[in-house]
Amino acid sequence: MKPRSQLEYLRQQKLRDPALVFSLSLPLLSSLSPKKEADLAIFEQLIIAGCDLGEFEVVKQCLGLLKEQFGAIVKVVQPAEPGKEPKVKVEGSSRVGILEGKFLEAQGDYSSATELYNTLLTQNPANVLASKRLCAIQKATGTPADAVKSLLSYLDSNPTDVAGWWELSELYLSQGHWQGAATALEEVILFDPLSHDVHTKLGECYYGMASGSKDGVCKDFSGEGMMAMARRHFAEALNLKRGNLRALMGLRMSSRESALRPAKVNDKKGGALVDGSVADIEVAQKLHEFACEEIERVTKGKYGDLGAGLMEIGRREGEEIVAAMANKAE
Amino acid sequence: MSTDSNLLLLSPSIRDWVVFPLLIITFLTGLLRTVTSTLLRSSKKIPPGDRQIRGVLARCGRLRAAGGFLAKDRWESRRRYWTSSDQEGPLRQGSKYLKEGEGGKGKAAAGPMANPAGAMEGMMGNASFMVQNMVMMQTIQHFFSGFVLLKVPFPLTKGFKGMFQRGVDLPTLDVSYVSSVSWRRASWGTARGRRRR
Repeated sequence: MKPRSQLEYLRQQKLRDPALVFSLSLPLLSSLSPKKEADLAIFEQLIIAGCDLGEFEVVKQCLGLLKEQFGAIVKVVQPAEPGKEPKVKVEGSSRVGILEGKFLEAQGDYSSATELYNTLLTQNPANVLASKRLCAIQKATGTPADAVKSLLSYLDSNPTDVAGWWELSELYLSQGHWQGAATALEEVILFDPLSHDVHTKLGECYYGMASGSKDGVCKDFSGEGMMAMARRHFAEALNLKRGNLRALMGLRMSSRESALRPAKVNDKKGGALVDGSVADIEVAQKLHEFACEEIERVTKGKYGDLGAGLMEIGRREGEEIVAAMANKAE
Repeated sequence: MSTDSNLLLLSPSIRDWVVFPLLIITFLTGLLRTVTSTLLRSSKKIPPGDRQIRGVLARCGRLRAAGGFLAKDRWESRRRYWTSSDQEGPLRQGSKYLKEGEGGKGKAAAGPMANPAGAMEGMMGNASFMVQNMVMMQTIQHFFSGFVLLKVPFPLTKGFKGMFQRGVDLPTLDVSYVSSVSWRRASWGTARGRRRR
């Protein structure tokens, strides 16, 4: 396959393989011209690959050619009207500006990059790429809390960016903030409800919140109880992708917890917290059984001792639950 | 009733000077419209406030559509947040983008560049499109009326006579013979289909 077609394939599939891109496009560099529209995409790919690999000479050369053709981002001070302050207008191509910003970031010059992105945002406040790069800079240089703050303000003006919400949940999880991660993942679910890994992750967040709180009830939630919510999301994940081992483990653990330590729920009359219903415990037990069977089916013959160990734990937990239910009945 | 005896011989100059020109005119005006609309639209910038409002509306829409995948309490707390009766509630924020819905007489109707992109643009696009269609129909009726244009290959019922034979007042004429307006309509329909793709 010819190098140009290979590069086009990488572009279309949005694959990030800097070494491959660099090796394909560097030989073409002498024949590329910024005046030809077909070459511009290759310039862009080469610049990004060069930034990734640290090949700054090549990047400087390409950026120079592009700036010559399209104009770098500059602030032009317009002549001041009498009695008023001079206005500053931003000129230049925003696409070239973003590439230049990425180059500055690759070199570690975050302050100039921040200044450049802020200039781009004055030129066009709807420039999504510039706001995203500002968040990325915060993530690279600041604390996770700073990164979260900057990402939240980005999501305020771009609330439909699913990848942004996903990134926010990862930032929260890196700080151990289950509740924030759960809220962010719920947004992701609303946009992408049929994705099993989001349900699994959300179940894990609820599991974390439930294990950390008293009575399995967090002050923002009433009613179902968080462990039961975790259970439901693991079950949904398995519904979407059968045999998903991570969700199976989650289902087994959460159904065991909700069977042995049922959450207190709000009394229907809105009064004190009362014990969860017996029906819910039976559901939990059935789910636990199902999870153990599925784990056995999935790990059969693989994982050696680990598989046998899992089955043993599952069997013991099952007996535990049955004993607890019998105690409750008495 | 045999159709052979009812065949009319139409002058070939009708074909040369009406059928083909109408086809070309329809196609070209459509092309012109799409080109001018893309040129006009490219210079607009969406102010950040409207993006926020649109995002809010999108999120509420998603809550309605995919809310069944969330636990009941979480859905409920989101619903309470969006529909909050507090003055600061997100759905109670005023916006130029939303004001035009109130009778359409808001200040937003001032000029095309002052409007936020989105609904207003679509509305105006549709309005100009309708106006253009009307004008073309009137022009064609004015210039190309009074004669039969062509014969459609399939039989039609008497009910269509009024629609397809405007300007041709022959009560006994077979309904399959149509006038220029219907040819214009037909070519416009197919041109739209071709352009959409």
